[in-house]
Amino acid sequence: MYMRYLIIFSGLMALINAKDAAAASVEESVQHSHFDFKGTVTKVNAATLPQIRPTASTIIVKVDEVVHAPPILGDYTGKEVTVRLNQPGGVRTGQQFVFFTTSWMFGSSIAVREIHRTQAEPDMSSVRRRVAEARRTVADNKLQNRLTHAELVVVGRVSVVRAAPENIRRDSVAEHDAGWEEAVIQIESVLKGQINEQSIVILFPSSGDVMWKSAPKFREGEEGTWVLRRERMRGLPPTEEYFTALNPRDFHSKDQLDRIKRLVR
Amino acid sequence: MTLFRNSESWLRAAPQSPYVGLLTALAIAMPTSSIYAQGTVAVSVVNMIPQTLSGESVTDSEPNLAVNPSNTQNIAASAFTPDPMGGVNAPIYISTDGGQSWVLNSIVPGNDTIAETGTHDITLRFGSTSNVLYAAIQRGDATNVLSVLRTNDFTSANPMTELVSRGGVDQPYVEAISVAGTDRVYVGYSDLTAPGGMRSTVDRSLDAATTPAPAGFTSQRIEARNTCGNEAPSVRPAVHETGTVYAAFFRWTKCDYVPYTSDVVVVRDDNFAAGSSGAFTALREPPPPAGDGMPGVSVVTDRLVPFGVRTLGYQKVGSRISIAVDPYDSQRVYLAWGDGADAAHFALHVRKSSDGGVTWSSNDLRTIPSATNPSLAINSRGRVGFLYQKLTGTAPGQRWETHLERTDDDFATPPIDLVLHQAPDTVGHDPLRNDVPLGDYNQLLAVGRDFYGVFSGNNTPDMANFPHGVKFQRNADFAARKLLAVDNVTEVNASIDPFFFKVPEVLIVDTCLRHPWLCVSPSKLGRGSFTLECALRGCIIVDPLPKNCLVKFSCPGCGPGGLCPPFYNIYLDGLKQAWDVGLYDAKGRPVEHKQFNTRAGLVISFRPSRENYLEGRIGNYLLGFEMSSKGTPGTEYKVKTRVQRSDRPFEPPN
Repeated sequence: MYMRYLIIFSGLMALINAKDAAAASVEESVQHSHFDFKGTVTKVNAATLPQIRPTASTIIVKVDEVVHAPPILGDYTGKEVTVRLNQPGGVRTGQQFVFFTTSWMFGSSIAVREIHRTQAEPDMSSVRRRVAEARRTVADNKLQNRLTHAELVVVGRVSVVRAAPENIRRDSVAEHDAGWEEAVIQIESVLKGQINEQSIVILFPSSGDVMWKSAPKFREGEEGTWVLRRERMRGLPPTEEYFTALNPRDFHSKDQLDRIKRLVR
Repeated sequence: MTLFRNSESWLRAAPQSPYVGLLTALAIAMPTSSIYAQGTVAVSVVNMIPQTLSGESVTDSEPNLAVNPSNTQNIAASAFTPDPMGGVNAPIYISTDGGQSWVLNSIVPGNDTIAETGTHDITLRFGSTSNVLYAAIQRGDATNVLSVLRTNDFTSANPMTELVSRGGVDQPYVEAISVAGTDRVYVGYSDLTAPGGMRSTVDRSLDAATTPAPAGFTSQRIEARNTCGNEAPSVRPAVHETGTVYAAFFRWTKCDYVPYTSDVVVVRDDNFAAGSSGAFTALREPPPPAGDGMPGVSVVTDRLVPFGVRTLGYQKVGSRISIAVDPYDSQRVYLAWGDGADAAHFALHVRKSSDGGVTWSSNDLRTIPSATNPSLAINSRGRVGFLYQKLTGTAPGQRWETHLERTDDDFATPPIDLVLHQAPDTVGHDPLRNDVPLGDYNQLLAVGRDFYGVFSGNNTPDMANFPHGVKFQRNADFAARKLLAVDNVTEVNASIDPFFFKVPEVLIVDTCLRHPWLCVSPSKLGRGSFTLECALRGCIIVDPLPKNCLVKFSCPGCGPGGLCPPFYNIYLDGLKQAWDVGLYDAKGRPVEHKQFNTRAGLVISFRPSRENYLEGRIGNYLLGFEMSSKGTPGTEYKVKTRVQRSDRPFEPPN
C-alpha cells in the first residue's frame, strides 16, 4: 500500500515537474522566438524555398494555428514553412508540435530557425496564455533593465524644443548626423533619482537617419515618463554631461505610468 | 598566340595577325561604327522585395551588391532592410539564379531590432575565386561600430563570422579580390577617432578567407595631410589583381560652415598594401614648390561640398565618390565624385588617369548636373559603366531618374544611356527627417563582360517608371498602380525598395571593332574539330558558321518533306566549362537559341530565319566563344564538333 502511494506521488511529481519544465521552456523560448505556431510536419529532409539545400535538419511544416507572429507575415495559418531544426532528425511526417522559431529566409515562402518545440496540445488556450504571459514578462524585463540603469526617471511635459548648442552640433558632423536638439521638460514628479530643479534639459536626436531612427523624438506639449541617463557629448568639456533618452524604452506615454511605477526600483 | 592589350602594340602586330580578314569581314557587315541601340540590350530590372514581405513599406535604401565571379548565379545584396521578425541578425538579399529572384537571408549579426533599419551602413563583396562573401557593416544594434564579417556559404542559416569589431567608424566600404589562393580584402572607412580629423582609413587583410579572426586585418591611415579637423565619410578602395590598390576620398580643408571646401584625393599602393608601414604612398604630389611632396594626388582642389544638408530634393549629397580600375590595365583608372555649393551648382564629375593616378584628365570626361550616387565599373572589354541618380523637374513635381551610361571612348561620343527607373521624389522622406531617401550610395559592378547593379527608388508599380521593364516579386497591381499586401487585397503604401539590374554585353561584333586585340579566330581547324585558345582573359573567339560548314563539318540542307529551314543542333564537346558560347547574326546581335549541357560539352540548338538561311551553309551566323572564369589563358582547348539537322528542337536524352 505504501509503495503504491509512493509510485502515485512520484508520478504526480514527475508530471508537475514536466509541466514546470515546459512552462520554463516557453518562458525562455519567447525571449528569442518571434514566430510561434502549432504545426504538422508534412515532409522531412525538404524545404519550401529553392535557395535552401534540404538536409536532415530542414523540414516542411504546415502551420495549423498561429500563437504569435509578426504583423508583416499576415495570417500564415494553413501555409507551409521550412523549419530548420536545432538537431537533425527526431521528427516524423504527421507529427504535430508547437514550434518556437525565429527568422531565417523570406522569399516566395518563409524559412525559420527552431528555438524550441513542445508537443502540441489539442486545446491551445493554455499555450496561448503561457506565451502571452511570457511575452509580457520579457517586455517588462527589458523595460526594468532600462529603469535599473537609469539615473533619473521623471514624469512631465515638454515645454520647449530648441536646437542644441553650436559646439555639440558642429562636433557631431558625420554622415549619420544626429541633428541634436534640446527638450526642456517641466517635471511633475520624480520616480527615480533626485533633482532639485522644476525642469530638466535633455538632448535628443531629431534625425530620422538609420542610426537615430529609433531614438524618441519630442515635441512641445508632449507628456509622459522619461527614463534618463547621463551622456558625455563630443564637443563639450568632459565635465559637462547631458541627460538623454536614446532608447525607445526611454520614453512612455502617460497611460504606461502604472506599469513603470510597478517596475521602477 | 600572343595578344596585346595595348592598342599601339596591336597595330604593330596586326600585319601578322591572321584575324585581319575576319575583322575586315565583320567591319563590312557593320552598317555603322556603332551598332548599339537600347532596344538590342536585354536589360533586366528586378524589385528585390520577396513576395512574403509584400506588406512592408520601410525605406530599403542605400543598397550594395556582390556578384560571385566564380559563379555569377550567386549574388548578394544589402540595403537598410530590417529582419522582418525583429531577430538579432539583419538580412542580406541573396539570389542563386543570377538575380532573377531574391530572398532575404538573416545572417548578419547586429540587426537593429527596433528601428526597422537592419544594420546601419553595409557593403558586400565576394572573393573572386574563393566563393567567400565579405561584409563590412556598421552594426545596427550600436552606434558607429564596425564589423567585418565573412561566410563561405551565403545561403546558410549560420550567422556570418565576425573578423573585426571596432568603434568610431563611419561608412565602411569593402572590396575583395582572390590572388594566388588567398583573398585580399580592403575596407575603406572614416575613422571618427582619428587625431586631427585625418579620418580616411583603409583596413586590409592579405588572407581573409580562412585565417581565424581577426584574419590579419590591419589599419592603414591613407590621409597624410592636415584637414579642417574633420573629413568626409566616403572612402573607396579599388583593387587590381596585379597588386595595385587605389583609394579615393574627400579631404576637407575648410569646414567652419556649409558648404565645406574639399580636395578630391587618390592614393595608391603597388603591392596589395602589404607593407607594415608606408602603404598607399606610391602616389605623391610633386616636391615644393610645385606641390608638397606628400602622398596622395589631388585630382581637384577647393571644391565646395554641401555636407549635411538637403540639396537635391529631399536628398543629402555631401559625400559621393567612386573609383574603378580597368581589370586589364592597372594604370587605367576612372574617378567620379559630386561637388557644388548648392542644388543649382551640384554635379557629378568623371575623370580618368592613364598613368596610375599620377596625372588626370584636366577637364571632366562627363558632367551630370543635379545627380548623386555615382558608381563606376569597367568590364572585361574595357567598357566603362557609370551609374547615377539624377533629379529632374521642378518642385513639387521632381523625379529621380536612375541612369546607366556606358562608353568605349571616354564619353567623346554620346554614351549608351539606359534609364532604368524614373519616379517621383515623393517617398522615403518622413516626418522624422530622413534626409537620404535613396541612401548615400548605390552600386555598379562589372563581372566579365556584363554589368550588374543595384539602386533604391520609389516602388510604385507603374510601368511608365521602368522604361526597360521590371519584375516585381512582391504583390502589385500594375493596372491600378498599387502595391498589395500578402493577402493580395490590402493596399500598401509606396516606399523605397532596392532594385537589381543586369545589363549583359552581348554584341560581340561591336566589341571586336572597338577592341580588336580581344578578338581572334579558332585555330587548328580540322574536320570535326578545332582549337580554342586565348592568351588574355576576356578575349573572344569568333567563328562564322558558313566557314564551319566548309571546313569542320557538312551542313545538311532541308530534308525532303521536312521542316525548312530545319533546326540545327551544333555539338561542341570539350569546352570543359571554360568557355561561354553565344550565337549571333552577322551584325553581332544575339540570336535566339537554346543551350543544353551534355556529359561531353554543349549543344547549341536553333532554327535559322528564312531570310538568313543559306542551303548547305546554315546562314550568316557566328559562334562567339568567351573564356569563362574557369578557363585558363594560354591553354589549348580542343573541341570536337558536329552538326545535326532536325525537324524538332533538340531534346536532351533522359
